[in-house]
Amino acid sequence: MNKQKVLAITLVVLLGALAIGGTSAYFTYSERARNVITSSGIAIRLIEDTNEIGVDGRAVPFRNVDGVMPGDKISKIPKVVNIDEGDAFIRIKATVSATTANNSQITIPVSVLSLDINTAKWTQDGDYYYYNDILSANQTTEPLFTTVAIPENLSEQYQNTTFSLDINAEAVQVANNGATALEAQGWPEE
Amino acid sequence: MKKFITISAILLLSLVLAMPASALRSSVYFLGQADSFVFHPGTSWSDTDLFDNFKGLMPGDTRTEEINVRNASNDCDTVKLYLKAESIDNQTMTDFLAQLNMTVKNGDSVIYQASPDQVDGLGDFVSLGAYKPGESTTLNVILEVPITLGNEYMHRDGNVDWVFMAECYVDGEIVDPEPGEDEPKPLPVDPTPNHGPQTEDFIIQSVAILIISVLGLFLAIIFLRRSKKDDAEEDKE
Repeated sequence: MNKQKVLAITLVVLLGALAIGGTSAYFTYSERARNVITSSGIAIRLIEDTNEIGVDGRAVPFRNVDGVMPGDKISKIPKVVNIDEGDAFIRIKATVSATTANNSQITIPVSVLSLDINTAKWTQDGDYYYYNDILSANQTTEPLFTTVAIPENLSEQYQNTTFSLDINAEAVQVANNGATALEAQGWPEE
Repeated sequence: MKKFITISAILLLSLVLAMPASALRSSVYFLGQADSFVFHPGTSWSDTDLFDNFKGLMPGDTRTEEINVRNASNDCDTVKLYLKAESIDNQTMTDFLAQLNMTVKNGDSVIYQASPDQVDGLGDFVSLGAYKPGESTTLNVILEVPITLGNEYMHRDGNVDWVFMAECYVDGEIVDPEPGEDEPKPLPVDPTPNHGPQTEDFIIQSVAILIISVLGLFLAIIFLRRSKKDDAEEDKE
């Protein structure tokens, strides 16, 4: 073999080895990132107090009242508390039902009872009263009303009748859901 | 006094405005051969959490998270960075994550687009590019929550595991691979993070190169001597 050829082959082998060395001199590292996605939520609690203050200094919760007569005024103060972390729109529906002396169930308009609705904070639309403000976490609404007045001219047909004034409060998220409770979508189905 | 307060307020505002954007966003730092990766800022959910903006989601939300991935090493000429996603084995979490849509962009190129319970295009390591010390790239992560997400998904959480890999080149220039090219073979990833260099292959390669080089040199010397000897004999004749 010609000595120049041998030398050339040797140099090629050497250069090849050096080239391999040049591209393989690296270290490899890897590490894991644990990323967490979480969702929020909304939840409310309806509270019904009276204007009486208990021995503990707190408002006495509403209890059923017996022997009500025309012209009586009953303290019943419904409010809603946001007990979750998300901002909420609030609405309340009040319905009145009655069980007459002969035990028949009748539904009667709320207007039969006189409620001092706080129209500065609540706006009526259909059967619902919508709270005008956004209710943030741990906040409580202003009362929808504070007194239930039994009209003095209540018809005699309601003698010995049991009235039920049911308050149902609902909440829906504020985020991505309009500017006011009246615009908001996604209320629970009736 | 009023002047002092005004000047102080201006200075404070200037300092805040002068803060690098990376200080306000999630970051991944490759610190080099000794320290590997560091994830910032982390959250109360996970020390390595890069999704600080993806907490407390509500239906209809669209959130974004910018993640700066930086070669902060001083002992690598060049670092090639790679990313892959790992699937999680938790039905409650995957049920929740399956409701969401996530897009990950590296610069302008979309490297992932799916619900975050899926690994999608990040099933294998995907190159994020090659970076010299101090250089970085930004991953833009966009998370969309459908407005129809129901009450059953309130107060849920789901893990999205990402594995970052770095190749630290200490000798010679490398070329930034084209997307989809020059992807490394997937590393076997242990449940516990891997902090140290994987040196076994490197040692074997180095020894092989050394042996080839010594043999080559040895052969060259032998042939050179032999050729000198031949030349001397030819001169005598």
